[in-house]
Amino acid sequence: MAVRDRILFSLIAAAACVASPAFAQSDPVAELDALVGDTVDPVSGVAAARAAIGAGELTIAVATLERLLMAFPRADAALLLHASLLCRLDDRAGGRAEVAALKSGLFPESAWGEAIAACGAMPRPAGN
Amino acid sequence: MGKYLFAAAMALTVPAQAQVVGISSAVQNDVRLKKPGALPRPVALRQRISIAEMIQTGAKSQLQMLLLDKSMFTVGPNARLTIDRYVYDPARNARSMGATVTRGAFRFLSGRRTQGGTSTINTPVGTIGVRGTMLDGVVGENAALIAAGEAMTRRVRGDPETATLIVLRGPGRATQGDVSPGVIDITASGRTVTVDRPMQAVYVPYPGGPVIGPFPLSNSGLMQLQAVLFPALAQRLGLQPPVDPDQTFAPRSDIWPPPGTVQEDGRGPGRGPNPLGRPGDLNGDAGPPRGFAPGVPALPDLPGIQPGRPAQRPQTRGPAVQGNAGADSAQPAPIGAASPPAKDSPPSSDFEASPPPVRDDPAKQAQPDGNGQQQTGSQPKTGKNPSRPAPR
Repeated sequence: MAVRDRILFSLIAAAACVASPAFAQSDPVAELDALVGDTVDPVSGVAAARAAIGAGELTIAVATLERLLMAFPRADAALLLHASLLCRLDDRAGGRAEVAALKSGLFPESAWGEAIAACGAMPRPAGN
Repeated sequence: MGKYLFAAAMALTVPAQAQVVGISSAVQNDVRLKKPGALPRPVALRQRISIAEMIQTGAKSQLQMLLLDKSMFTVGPNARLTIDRYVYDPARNARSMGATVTRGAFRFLSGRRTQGGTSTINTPVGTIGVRGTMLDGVVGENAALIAAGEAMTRRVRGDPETATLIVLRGPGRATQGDVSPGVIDITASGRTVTVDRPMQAVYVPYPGGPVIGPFPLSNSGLMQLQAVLFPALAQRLGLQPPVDPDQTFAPRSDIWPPPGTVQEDGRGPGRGPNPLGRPGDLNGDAGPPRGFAPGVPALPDLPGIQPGRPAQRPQTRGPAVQGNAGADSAQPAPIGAASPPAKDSPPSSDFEASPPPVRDDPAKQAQPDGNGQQQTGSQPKTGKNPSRPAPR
């Protein structure tokens, strides 16, 4: 290969890297794919949300739970955690309204305590 | 030599033409993606979404989209969303986004904290400037009907196709975690209203109409909004959206009577059970004008969203109304150059007219049964949900 061709190849490769920053850095799309994979079931979805909460990324946790609830609307534990997150984001009215809409009060005490701590005292849903 | 130059040119231009801005992270029922100049195609989970591609949802359908910076858009049934502009620089932790919602309910949630950049969401009535926040919005009939149940807006007649209700959900000043309090700036009718407290709402009943708010959204209004945005969850919780979720978008003629209509009881235009108020209740409100708000371009892809208009419209732009549903100075104005379709003509729904006919497929009519499974859905209905609580 002529020297001129090698130089041109190098220029093309450089141009491609400039035009597609993802090639030169971590791939953000791949990160999104991984996030979607975290919500294939309620258990893993809540775990992923709690991991985001642990990292201080409350809004990402909210998005994770909403993704989960779209596919699993009966995942009351996810909805309770979502309501807690709304309260922690200072949307107490929204969080308390979600708790009030819940039909069942069958949560672990720790989850209910977490909701109370975030949203304040409120009546626990009575249904089973 | 020439082939190398061509390859270099392609390397520079191809990413710009199909710039991926995010992926579909949750898809429920009938959701399609329309590339510019192409027909809508069904959306799969994890599908790449690029700039200028329009997301279209059908009845009882929903989509969540994650953007590269982990911001999130959720749209409910019968919605139209396009990401018009998106720049994300992870190295500088900066994001700039421009989106357009022309119909339906949506939620936008900012992702990671960014150091710079602007985010805007265009609606038929104006623009929402977003500064690190979570907000809900509704464009169309549901917005008008939710507003009809709010004390601040119940006497305001809203356009069932362009009325827009925007609610800041958070984070508020007492927020926790690695997030900053959110703020939205709503610019419509030549005015800008800033909202910085959760559960505060702004309502614009039609393009050029008064900007009403911010006012606190009631719990019932919030629940209706949630029911519109999350239909499967609403079904599980027994929440009722204002408009039947089985209904595919079609403008209702019964909530937008033309001026001059006299009711059976002999009262003035729009009086009677119309839940969207009546013209004249807002002082000087002579009804909506044609066209879109200043700075909000008309959307040629959506001819069906421009409703029929009465012959007269406010010429001057009304003041922002805060704390009181006040007046919008209204004067007759000449008819605009763009002639909207007649009210009686059928809607030119880009969704319904576009193949493939997914809704004709019985498998696609399935509805979630509450466990992420599918079951046969009910037949489409028309009209608003009869169980919706009556406006106060």
